[in-house]
This record gives sequence, C-alpha cells and structure tokens, in this order.
Amino acid sequence: MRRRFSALRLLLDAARPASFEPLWPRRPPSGPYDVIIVGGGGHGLATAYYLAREFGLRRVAVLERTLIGYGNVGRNTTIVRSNYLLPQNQRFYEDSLRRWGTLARELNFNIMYSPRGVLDLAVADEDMVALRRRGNAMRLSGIDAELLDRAGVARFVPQLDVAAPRQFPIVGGLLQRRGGTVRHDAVAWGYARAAAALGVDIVERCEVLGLARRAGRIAGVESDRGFIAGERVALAVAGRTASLAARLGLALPLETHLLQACVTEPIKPMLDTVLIYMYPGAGEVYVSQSDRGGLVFGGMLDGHPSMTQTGAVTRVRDVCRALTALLPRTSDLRLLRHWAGMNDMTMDGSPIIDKLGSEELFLNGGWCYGGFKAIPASGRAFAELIARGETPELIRPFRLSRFLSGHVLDEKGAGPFPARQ
Amino acid sequence: MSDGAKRGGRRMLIRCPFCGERDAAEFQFRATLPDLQGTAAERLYLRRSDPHRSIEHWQHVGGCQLWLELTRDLTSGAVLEVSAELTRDLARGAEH
Amino acid sequence: MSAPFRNPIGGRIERSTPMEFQFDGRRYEGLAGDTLASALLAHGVRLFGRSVKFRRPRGVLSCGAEEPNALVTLDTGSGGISNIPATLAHLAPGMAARSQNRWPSLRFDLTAALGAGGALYGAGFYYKTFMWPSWRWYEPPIRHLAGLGQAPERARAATGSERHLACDVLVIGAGPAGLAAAATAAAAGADVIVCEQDLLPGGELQFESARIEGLTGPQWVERSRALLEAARARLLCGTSVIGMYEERVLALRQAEGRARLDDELLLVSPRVRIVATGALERPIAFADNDKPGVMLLGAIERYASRYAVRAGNEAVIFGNHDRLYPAALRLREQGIRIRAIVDPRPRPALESLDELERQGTRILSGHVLERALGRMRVRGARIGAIGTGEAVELSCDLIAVSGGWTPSIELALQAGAKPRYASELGAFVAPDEGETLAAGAVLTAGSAAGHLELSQALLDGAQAGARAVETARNGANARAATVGSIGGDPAPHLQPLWRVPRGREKRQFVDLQNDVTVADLRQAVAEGFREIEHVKRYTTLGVGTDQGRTGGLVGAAIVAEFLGETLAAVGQSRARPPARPVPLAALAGLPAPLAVKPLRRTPLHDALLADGALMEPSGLWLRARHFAGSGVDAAVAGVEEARRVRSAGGLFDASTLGKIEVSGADAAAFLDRVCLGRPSRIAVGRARYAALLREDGMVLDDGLLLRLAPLHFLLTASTHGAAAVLAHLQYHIATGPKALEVCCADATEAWGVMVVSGPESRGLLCEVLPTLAGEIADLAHLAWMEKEWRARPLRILRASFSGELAYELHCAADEAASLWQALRAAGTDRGVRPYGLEALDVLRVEKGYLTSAEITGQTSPYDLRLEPWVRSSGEVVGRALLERPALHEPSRPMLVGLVAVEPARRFNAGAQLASPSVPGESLGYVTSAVFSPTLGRHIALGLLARHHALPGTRVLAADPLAGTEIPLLVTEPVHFDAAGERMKS
Repeated sequence: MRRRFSALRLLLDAARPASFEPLWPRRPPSGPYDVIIVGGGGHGLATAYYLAREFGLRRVAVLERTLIGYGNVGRNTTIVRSNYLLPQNQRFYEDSLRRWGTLARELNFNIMYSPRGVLDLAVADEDMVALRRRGNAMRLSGIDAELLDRAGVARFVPQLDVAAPRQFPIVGGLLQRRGGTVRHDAVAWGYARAAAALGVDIVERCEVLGLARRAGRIAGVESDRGFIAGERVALAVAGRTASLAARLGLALPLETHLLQACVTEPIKPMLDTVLIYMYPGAGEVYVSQSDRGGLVFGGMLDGHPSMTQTGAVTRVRDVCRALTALLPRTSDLRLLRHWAGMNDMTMDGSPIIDKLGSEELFLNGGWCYGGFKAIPASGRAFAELIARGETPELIRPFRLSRFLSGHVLDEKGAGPFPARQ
Repeated sequence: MSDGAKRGGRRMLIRCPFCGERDAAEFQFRATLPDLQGTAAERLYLRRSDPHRSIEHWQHVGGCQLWLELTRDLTSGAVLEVSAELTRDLARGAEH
Repeated sequence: MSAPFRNPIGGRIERSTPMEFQFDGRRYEGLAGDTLASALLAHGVRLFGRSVKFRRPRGVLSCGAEEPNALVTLDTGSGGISNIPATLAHLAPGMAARSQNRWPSLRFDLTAALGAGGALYGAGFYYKTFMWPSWRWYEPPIRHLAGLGQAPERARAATGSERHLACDVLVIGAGPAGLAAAATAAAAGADVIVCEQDLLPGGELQFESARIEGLTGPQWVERSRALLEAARARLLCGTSVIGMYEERVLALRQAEGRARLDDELLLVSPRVRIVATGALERPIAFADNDKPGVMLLGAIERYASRYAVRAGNEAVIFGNHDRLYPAALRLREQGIRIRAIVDPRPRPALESLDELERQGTRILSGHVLERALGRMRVRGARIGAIGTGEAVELSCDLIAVSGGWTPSIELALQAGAKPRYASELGAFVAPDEGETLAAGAVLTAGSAAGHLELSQALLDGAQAGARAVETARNGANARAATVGSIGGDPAPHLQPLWRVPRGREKRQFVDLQNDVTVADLRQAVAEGFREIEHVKRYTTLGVGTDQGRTGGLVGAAIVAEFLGETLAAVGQSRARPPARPVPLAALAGLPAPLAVKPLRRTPLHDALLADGALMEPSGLWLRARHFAGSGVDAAVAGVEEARRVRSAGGLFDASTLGKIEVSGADAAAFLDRVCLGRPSRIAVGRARYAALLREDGMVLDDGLLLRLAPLHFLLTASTHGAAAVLAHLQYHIATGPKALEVCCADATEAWGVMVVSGPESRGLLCEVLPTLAGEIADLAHLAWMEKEWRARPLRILRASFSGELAYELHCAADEAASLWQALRAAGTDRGVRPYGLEALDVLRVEKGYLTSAEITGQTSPYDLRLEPWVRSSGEVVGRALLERPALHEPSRPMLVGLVAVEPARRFNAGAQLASPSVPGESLGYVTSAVFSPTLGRHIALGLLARHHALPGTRVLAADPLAGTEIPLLVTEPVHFDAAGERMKS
C-alpha cells in the first residue's frame, strides 16, 4: 500500500535513506482492460484516477508514448482560472478551479495551487467594456470577479507602474482572485501516483499504433509493445490528437499549432499575481513568477500548423517586447529557457469531449492552449462519460456535433481559424 | 531522447513564384485545405490531414501579396511544394 | 594594493592599466583584461557566494560561461543586474559587484541555518509536504527564500539593437577546429562569419603547450586571424550563439570590456553552419566537492596563463586521465606547488610522472579523493586507496579536478544532429552523419565531433570547412589544407569516473547551482524516475542558469549507475535554447516603454491636435476621442459634441476607414459572391450598405460600397476590420469557384476622409466649395461625385453614420489637412466644430448603427437584423452555414434597443441582461450604452435572447461588478428618427 507523504514521514525517511518507494510502479501492459487510456498527460492520468476512484473501474491502463508528464502538462505556463465569457465554459472551468483547491490533500501530493489572482489588463475603454461583459457574466454564474480601475490595478499590483508613459496606457483590469497557478509537474506525478495506488497500470514508452477490432467491435489497441486488449479506448493525447487522428483515419475539427513559452532566470519575488496583457496585433503577453523565482511567460501561437517543437524566434522576440513594455524592470532579466508545445487547436477554440460514433471509442482533446487548467474537471467528466456511456451535463456543450449544428463555443469570435483562436 | 531526431533545424524558406526564395516570416498562413468531401459545414470544419503532407494556403504579405498553396511536412517544418495555383471552389460555406 | 596571487610576469592582461573595483563594498584593484573572477582570485578571495538551497559557501569552479557557482550582482546605473557569472564579468573601472544568497553578509549568513534542515530537503521535498491546511500558508516565505538575485529596480538605460546578417558559412567557435574550418572556407572564396563567445580567439590554444608547424598556439591563432582578415571573413569575438532556429541562427554580441548593457542581437542566415564549440571539462562528485577551492583543472590553468593568477599555492590534483600530468608540470611552472596527483587508474607510463616525483609531487595511482577538508574553504584533502581503503589527509588550498571532457553539442542537437555515445570519451558527440549531413546544413568539427586531440581537431576542422563550401556553393570544390607537424597534449586514455562512492552522498554535489547531490539522484531513481529527463524535472538537475554544463553528464552517468544501465542507454538531458541566458531587452530590441509597434497617424493628425484633440490609440491608429473645451471628461464632452452635431453640425476625421478598391471585368460578379445585397445592382455614381460574412456565416464587417465605374468599386471597411476584409477578399479571389478577372488593392493611406454632418453641413460645404454648390445641393442620399480640391482628387459622398444630413469627403491625403482647415474656418460661424469618437458613438447608438461592439465575430446577420440583406443575396460566402439550427434558436441573442425605465438612470455597456423573474440567468448583454442628449435619457444597444426581444419587454441590466441592477425597456434598435427624415432632408 502506498505510504502517505507528510513532514514526519520525510524526517523518518531521511534517517533511512533506502526506504523510498516509486511514486508509481512500472508495470508491463497486461490486458484485458475495461478501459485503455491513450496518453499519459494530465487529462489521461486524471481520467484514470477518477475511473478508479469514483466509478470503481480498476482494470484501467494508461499508455504513454514517452514519459508521464512529458507533454503539455509539463510545459505550460501553469495558469488556472475560470474567467471565461461563455456560460458553458464558465461552468466547466469553475468546476475545475474548485477541484484544484482541494486536490493536493485529495491526492496527498502538493500540487501547489496558488490562488494569487489572475488579472486581465485593459488598455482601452473598449477593452473595459469587454471585461465588464465577461466579469458580469462570471458573477451571474457565481464566479468571483472584480473590475479594477487604473488605481485599483496600481493597488493590486504595486510592481506595475500604471502611471508610466506607455504606448497603450493601462486603464483597468478584470481580476479573478481565486485564479492563480499550479505546479505543473506535480499534477502529472500526483495523479499518476494516486491512480497507480488504486490499481491503474501506468505504462510508459508504449506507443499506440492503431485500434484493434474484432468482429467489427473495438477489442483494444495495437501498440509497439503488441496487442493490448480492452473493451473501451479513450484518447487523451492533447497536442498529438491530429497526428493520432490521421493514423486512425478520423476527420476532426482541429489542427496542430505551436505555442511558445519562456522562463527567465530565478530572482527574488517581483510579481505576486498572474498578469494577462493581450492587445491583439500590438503586444500580447501573460506572465507570472514561479515559486522557484523565474518569470514564466508566453504570448500568441506561432501562427501556422507545425509539429516541429521548434518555434519561430521572431515570436520569442515579440513576447519579450510585450513583457518589457509591460514591466520595464524585466528588461535586464535574462531569458533562461524557451520551448514550444504542440497545441490541438480546434475551430472554435473550445475542447472536444465526446464518444465517437457507436463504437466504444472516446475522445478528449482540442484543448488548444488551455488544457492544463481543465485537468481535474475534464478527467472527472470524461471518466463519467466512459464509465456510464452518457455525456454528463457539464461537458454536453463540448460534443463534436456542435460544429455542424452551429452550437460553437467561440469565446473570442475568431471564427473557424485555429491560428487566431 | 527520441524527440531530438525530429526537430528540424533547417531554415524555413518559401520559394515565392513571383519574388524568389524568402524567409517564412514574410508569409502569413490562413487555412489548411479541408477535405473536399461532405457538406459545406463539414468542409469548413473537418480536417483529415496527413502530418507529412499538409496542404495550406498562405499569403506573401511581406512581399507581392500573392496567395500560395504550400505543401508542408509538419513534422520537420520542410516546405515540400509551392504553387501559385490554388485549389479552387473550396466553397468554404458558399453552398448548401 | 598588492595582489598576492598574481604572478609577476605572463598573462594577457594589461599590467599598465590598473582598475579599481568593489566586491561586497570592499575595494580591490584589478587589471585591464581581468574578469571579476580572476581579479578576486588574484587577491586571494575564494568565497564568492552561497548556494541557493543549503546556503553553503561557494567559490568559483570554472573560467567561462559554464560557471554554475560564482554568480554575482553587478551594480549599474539602473540598479543591480543579478546572476552574472563572475567568470564572464569583464572588469571595468569602478565596477561594483555583490554576492548573492546571503543575509546579512557573505561570511556570517543567518539563513545558513536552513542548510541544517538539509536532511529533510531531498528531491521532491515540496511535493510531499506543506499540504495542510493549504499551500498558500507556506508559499510566501518559501518564495522569498527561492530565487537567485534581485530584479533590477528600473528599466535598463541602454537598449538592445538588432542586426541581420547573411553568409555562406557560419562557424560557431574559434578554437583550433573552428579557425581551421573558417580559414579553409574563406580561402576557397566563401563568405564566412565566425562567432566566438570569448573576447579572444583560440580556445584551448591560448594556453595548451601546443606546437603547430613550428608555431606556438597563440602564434598560430594570430596567423589564422590574419588569414581570415585577408580573405574578408568576419571574426566576431565576444559573440555567443544562443540558438539555432527554423529560420535562422541567433547570436548575441556584447560590447567588449563592459557589463552587458549594449548587447547587439544578430540574426544570422547562413547557408551552412559549422558547430565547433569544443568541449567542457567536467568534475567528479566527491564529498564536500562544493567547497571554495575545488576547481576544474583546466580553469586553474587558464587563470594562470591568461590572467597570471594562481588559484592557490598548494594543489592536489584529482582526475582519471593522462593529461593531468603535463598540466601539473605547467602549473608547477606558474608557481603552484603540486602536493599530489590522485588518479584511480594504475600508474601510467609517462615521462612527466618521474619529473613530478622529482619535484616532490606524490603520485597516488589507484587512489581517489574522498573528501575536501576545511570549513569556509579548502584546507586539505582526504585521499583513499581503492583496494585497501587506507586513507591519508594532505593539506592544500586548492583541489584541481578533471573528470574528462564533455563535448558541447547542444547547438548541433538543436540543429537536428543526433547524439552518439563515444566510449573513449565517456560522453556524447554529435558527428556528421545521416539526415543533417545529407541536408548539408549543419556540420560539427573538432572536440564537439569527438576529436579531442589537436591534430585531429585541426584536420577535422579543415575538412568541415571544405565540405561547407561544397554545400554552400552547390558542389564547388574546396580543398582542406593539410596541417604540418603538430604537437599537443597526449591522448587522454580516460577511464570514466563520475563519483567517489565514499562518504556522505548528501554532501556529494552534482549540480552546484541547484544543490543537487548524489543522494538526490539515488532517491529519484528509488522513487521510480527511470529516465534522465524525468530525474531532471524531479531533482532540478541541470535546470539552472548554467543548464548543467559541468555537472549534467555526471548526473546522467550516476543515474545510469543507479539504474544498472549504461550511460549510452540513459542519454544526456537536452539543453534547450537559449544556449546562454539572454537579456530580455536584447531580444526585444526596442526601448522598453515603447516596445510594441509603431502607431499610425491620419493625414489630419496635426490639424486635430491644433484643434485640441485628445488622441488615444484605437487599434494601431491614434484617433481623437474628444476635443478640449467640449467637457470635463470624455463622456460629458461626447454628449456635448453630439448635441452640437444635431443642432448645428460637426466635423469628424474618418481617415482610418479602410478603403479597398475592387476592379476588373468580374468585379461586380465577385462582389455578389462576398457581399450581402447584390452589389452588381449598384449604379455608377451611387453607394450602398454592404455587409460581408465570414465563412461560418458570422458577420465579418460592414461598410459602404461605391460603384466608381462599371468595373470599379470602392469598399469602405471599418477601422478595426480593414486588414481582415482585404485578406478575405483576396483569398476568395484566389480560391473562388473559377478564376475571375478582378483585383483588390488597399487605398486606405492614399486618402484623408472627413465627415461633415448636421443641418449646417450642406451650407458649409457649398460655402467652402462655391463652384460646386449646385451639384452639392442636388446630390442625393447615397450618391457621390468625383471633384477636385486644390487640383487634387476629391470624392464627395452623401452618406450618414449619425442620422443627420452628412457628407463624407475623401480627399487626396496630401491636401486633406488644407480642406479640413477650410471647413473649420468656414464652420466656426455656423457652430460647426470637430467631434471625436465619443460623440460618434452617441450618434450612432441613437440611430442603431453597428460597430465592432456588435459585430463581434459571434453575431450572424440574423442576429444583427440584416435578414432582408440575406434574402436579397445569391450564393454569398458564408450563407450556407447560416441555416444551421443553433443560429435560429429562440434563446439566441439578437440586436435590440434598450432604454432605462427611469430616464436618468445610467447603466453600463457590458452589463448582462436578465429577466426580472430569473435575475441570475443571462439572456444577453448591453453592447453599447450612452446618454442621448436628443432623447434626454440613457439609451443602449444590446444583444438579447429572441424570446425576450419584443419591444416593450422589461429586462434588467445586471451589473454585479458595479453593484447595480437597473430596469430597462426593450425598444427597436433605432432610437431616433426611425424614418430617416433628417439624413434624407
């Protein structure tokens, strides 16, 4: 049985250094499974955990092509929030945000949920109207939101000089205090550990090559480690959704685009909140400071489909430009690392969680660049869909059919252009 | 680490039929070519793209403004083909 | 001031140019050519800072960019710049530096007590505790302990700059292989750029006792430099390549001898890249190997030969290869006494051993160094025999470690090369093979390709240079110059040793910057992390500012040992770009407060300013919000200016309107395909409202379409939408069902546009253009005519966005200001004054006209009450998708007018609309809200669920952000003059 982590445990273990045990055991795949989850990222692991914990399915496998937590869950800007405009998105992300609040104790793994506030800045009065619209919609849905004027922004973020001469002066902002950050690696490891303790098989270095069908029904998957039997197959491969779909012959409303993120050298605390400063075409950056001290920031997508994981350096330049304009103090900080993640960008910028056709095949994807914050809600609802075969109310808006029926969830009004979502 | 092999280090250049070989930064992507089967809505939204042969429409905004049809390998970033003759009648929403 | 550790002769410093500097408030004197590290070592300073986690005293380990330990804060005019390796801080007069991670002082650090908790502080520590009651209780103090230095107080004074370079061959690294490659390529006529991160070229040749064709290392470097100069190759010293990208190579050039303030960013586009980045010496993990005074052997040599500085007086050397011995002899010559050489291998048969023994050096073969002794700095070394375990303790003030060399291959890997394990080096190399070689774009040469011996490195470099020319010049022949007699250090005969398995593993440091120990690695493996990338994330091995350049491979090898696998199988963790930390300002390349994009100004900009306009950015345009004198704030001024337009008249700068010309034999047919309402039916000389749909049926933009000639149209698009509309039109020309003879061009900047509106507008226009008075008087609504103003084109269009009688004057941009001034002069007596965006909004909300507040990309033409326009259209782009069921559901919002039940109650745009019976459920929202001076009440436009949109229905403007809930009545969107009598008058 898994041992609980606590400060006392650490002290005892320190005295007996040989006593550490794996966070999750390595097991070879051994079907047949009730459910095979393809993808050992945040969504796949969370789904496995809730399947085992809330729906009693113990014959569950998570098949991961590389390493647990090595995809987007381990390379994002770690922001969690529920400050969405559309009520369908609000309900879903709010469910997630509530779960973040209690997840560390539930998993007995410190995922470091830090409700330090997420502040969307406005640089023009028309932005303020858009923020007021969004904030009021949030409040009607029972989500916390505050509209700050310029002085309010100055009070909440003293590090931000709102009076400084700027090309685009800061006029206010929309604050969600319960928004914040979560330690990304810990989410993957915490869910993996908790799922494994409930009997889930976590199989790393196992690439799924195709679906296996027997007598016209799903019978499992073909992998580079052979056939693995399972009644139900659930895909949760985020940035690799398009390439996996191509392999499985599925047509989906999504494309793969790159999003870059950057981190500076670690420094003493200089920013205690999450700032989002997006002025389309001019400067786009969102930034927070990790507990380790680095400023973690990112901007817009690279602008065209790509699976190379090497982004365009001009995009890094643009985001540095926006950050130094927002916080001039950062101009002498140094960029330590930047990386590109593959994003499964949908045609309306919102995710897809659905059962595909009449088969026991399920899809969880299209997370665009916002999948990290969704992990607990997505895992919980996806598990329910797989276990019960019925779509829970929370994720009904995310069905695939919405594109053809017109029920698209286009937060930004950007239209069927994934590069602009 | 196996990902390493796939990282293309090549410069991404696009040979504009009008202007010659130019840096990709001069071009702007608009859309991936849809599946040409199905209803107008399916053609607008659904993609069945081969990661090694993605057919896309780009405009040379930093040059002659010409629209180009590019065939790209998304896994390496390589531009495989460039054509100024775009696939026509995509009917992205123009008929029932 | 004497520098006791500076030798009286030698070195490449300028002894005649002393420089005073400060470290932690104490004054020292160094020499031009010193780094902060060499200057402090010369004064016997060994303690440079404390470690981030355990606050252990730390000194300097290396002599270059790889330094993990000696990070300092440099004081500059704009506050301190943190985390600068002292080994890279080129001394400048008056330089002031501070140590980091100590409080209150470096020697007496109270936070060091934290280190005592080190037993607890294993890998993954934070993941396992601080959960009760919640992390936010613990986070603030923990955040304050983390982080290296402070962020600067202010923006930097100097700014970055950016330069684009192109060449045939870019050589990265000016060591022996790089210089040989560059010389070969340049001699064959290629355009060559060489980037060298050091201020001097030559790499190891600066101090190795090499002889090349009878020349010493420095002489050969000098000759190479002259050859490159003669061939017009560009040798850029002080320039580090920081990343290889899809489209180019990024390098950072720092001004010589200064703190990094005038960085220049180079974007280099080479045809071929040669990676000749050499190899870095690596340490061996043993107990207390982080003590100040434990240094890399090569670094000690470099301090001695380049800076004439002895890093200590009595050294113990610990390593596992044959090059220890010649190095020891050279250090001896520099005045460092070598007490012992500790080598786990059997005694090698080298002449230098006998000579060292004659000088009193103990050769301890078959021994390992078990532990560094001393508290704040090295005072001795404990050395044990491998077989018997018998130990001796020797006193010394310097421990020189050399565990072999790790080729610097990260740039080659970024460029697509594949790593290969070279067992003779115990390290990974990036040889030229496979795909990258076939593509010919990246070559590796010298140590980076595994050629550690000088003769091989030179040969390999020359060959790479020749191959590069062949690739860059499409098969042109170039010959690699052969190199004559070469004498350098012997082959190392390395026997890999990564850690000394004796003593406490918690004190055996692998990553010095992040305090990662052998114990952490053992724990990570025990906790199931079985791959190096995983271990890296869990333990923070190699994630510091040095990216684990010295310790990373050591860590990987120790992980391999714990896993029972080979290093080749475990692999090396990948260094991600940038290869070296880059100041954000250098990447941004523009002055910080303005670092976004240039703003656009209209041709009337100066005229508006002269009229007292308050300009604000709107998109990337600067536009007049309102005019001084109209009111105390924008809202009051807007109401006043709007009132004036309706009572007398106003002048408005509409130059930002997009102006797209569509022409060609098929122009009308094409416009019928992309605009609602059959534009082909517009007569020449007339104009009509036009709306465009996006492919999914949502409204993209709207404007007026003028038919200039049978085959020539002008479409005015909104300020915000103009660029998207142009691209949309051009795209549909290129992809429409058949090839059409039509083209689009953006003429926005060619015209200044001013609107004259209000009852006085016709009279004013006739007064300013007296010869046209008759024609103006006869001009019908939505008709236009082509005239001249001061011999420049002038288009007069009668159209209105205010509901008043109004004219749009499109005037050639260069004469637009003069027309504006003429209208201003003549208008004053009529009460016609300029108005801004605020008043424009009041006027158009009164009339129910649309802007981007309603055309949000989420609204269909049905939502915006454009159904008649849809019905009159043919097969318009986007129309097919309009019939999707969701777009006609009763809950879908549509455009409505709204008025406050109590006329004086103000409500906000952005308020949600709710039914009074279900106040918590949103039925839509207020898109635009203004005070209407004409109606004397607050009015608005909104989007409201169809089933609630009947005029007369009561709704609430729910604005919980403002704490208000205001009753409204639904009205038609047009609040005023629904018949349009005023504008048609």
